[in-house]
Amino acid sequence: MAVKLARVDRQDWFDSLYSATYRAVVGSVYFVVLDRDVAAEITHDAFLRLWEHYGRLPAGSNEKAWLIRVATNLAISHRRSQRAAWRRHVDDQEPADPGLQALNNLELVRVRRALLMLEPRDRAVISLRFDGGLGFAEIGAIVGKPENTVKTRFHRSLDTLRRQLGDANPVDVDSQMKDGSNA
Amino acid sequence: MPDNDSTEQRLSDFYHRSRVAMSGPVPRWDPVTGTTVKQGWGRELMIAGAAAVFILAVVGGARFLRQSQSPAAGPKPTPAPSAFTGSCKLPLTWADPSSGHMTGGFVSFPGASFATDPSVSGLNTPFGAGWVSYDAPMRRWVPVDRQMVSPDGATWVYSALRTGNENHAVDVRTGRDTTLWGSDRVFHVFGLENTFAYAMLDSTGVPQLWRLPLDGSPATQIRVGGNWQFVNGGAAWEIGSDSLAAGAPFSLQRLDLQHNTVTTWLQLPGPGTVVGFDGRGAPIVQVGGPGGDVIVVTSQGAQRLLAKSFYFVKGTIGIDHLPALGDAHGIWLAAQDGIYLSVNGGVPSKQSFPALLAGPCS
Repeated sequence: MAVKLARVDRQDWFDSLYSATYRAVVGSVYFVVLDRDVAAEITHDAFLRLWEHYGRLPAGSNEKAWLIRVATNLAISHRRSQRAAWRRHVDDQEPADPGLQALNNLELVRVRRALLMLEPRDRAVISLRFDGGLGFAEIGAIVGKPENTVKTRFHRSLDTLRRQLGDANPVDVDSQMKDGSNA
Repeated sequence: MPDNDSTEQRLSDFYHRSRVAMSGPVPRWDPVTGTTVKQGWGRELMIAGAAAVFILAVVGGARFLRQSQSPAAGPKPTPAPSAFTGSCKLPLTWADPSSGHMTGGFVSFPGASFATDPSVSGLNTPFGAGWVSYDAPMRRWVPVDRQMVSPDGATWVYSALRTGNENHAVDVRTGRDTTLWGSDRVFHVFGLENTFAYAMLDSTGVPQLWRLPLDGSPATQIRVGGNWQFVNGGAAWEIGSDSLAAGAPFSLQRLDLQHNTVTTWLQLPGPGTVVGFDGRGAPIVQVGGPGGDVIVVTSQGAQRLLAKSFYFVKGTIGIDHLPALGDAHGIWLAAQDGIYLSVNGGVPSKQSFPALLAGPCS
């Protein structure tokens, strides 16, 4: 019989949320800290908090929204830890991967550098807007700022990014490689 | 929403391409030790593992998807007893535990006898190994998931992440490889009709649905908005919500690809996932994630319960592979403990060992 008597216990609850939301959460964190090691570490901490909040979230809560809010704010307030640095050291010894080659696309490096010029909270606003497609009110609810403040920070950050990115052709990767501008 | 300013395009492209590169396996969570562990790695890399998910996850790294999201165990030599008396051969696929590569074979009914098919081993796209499926109309295995095979079986599509996301159509009869239009962009192809592929393009900040001719001629934008996930029966389908707010409603949306009209097909009590389509093209949905009820949305606003509290085989929820499949015999469901079949809307019964569904029983 395919019909099973599911015992929705803490582990089931957590497992389903973890598998369904991990990528969304780690992506949201990465776009704030722009460091894969730190992003994984913060994401882990966010899920640990979810685990600890079993049965304590208000009825009807959207756990994904709760996780993204918690993780984003952890990312905004993050200070790089020794643990992440150590992980980076270990990972640097892994063989090259096609994914790394893809991420090494110089255009992505340029954009990442420009984003690093912003404060973490502003990076969160930009990514929640462009990556998450959220409205300013929703972003405000996540980062804990009024909607108008979010709008102001968004436009100010966008101006900063425009100055940083200049008018370079975003797809002319070959010419940038010839210039030797690889990060 | 953002306009098409160059900086905004570049930001959107950055986020989208980063998301593509992050689309690999989710590291395993161990709540006891409080660690996340990549599947299939040694202890040393387990310690360092959680941090590396970005690098490991890549379109071209489908082998990782295959290794970690497919059933870990191979088929058991003695299939489970089957009461199904129909006559057909069901193609199944699974990850070979020794190599990690996908392999496959057939369960023959009646009797549920099983035989591997050696022609499956080593099937690769030019960009690497990934899923495999059985192209029933052409009676051959192809190295992509069945959503990437046209309904007539004449064409399959694979992707190669380079400057953009190159999408290629391969003619099953001749082997001819055609690069689809827009290879400098990051199209995510999610389904096929006989002459078109359908893809989402997010690089402008607003998701767009495009139709890409399989002959490589210029594509056309169909509409802006949406998060279309699957194509079946002349329609694109998605389940979504307009808001992240607590209690926000979810709904199954249907886009008529001929008339470009969107219809709310079913309101859902919470998040849901399209897990397949029945033999008539009706979407099969799991409500509430793993362990949730499985329903068939028989028509607009109408649903039929297929199974309660069902656990599909691990690694098939939230990614492109669909763990439910309808054909002339009924609806097949790939569960964690075996393949189940529902005949005439009845309660599904176990037919076979755990595996992935590679195609209809024919």
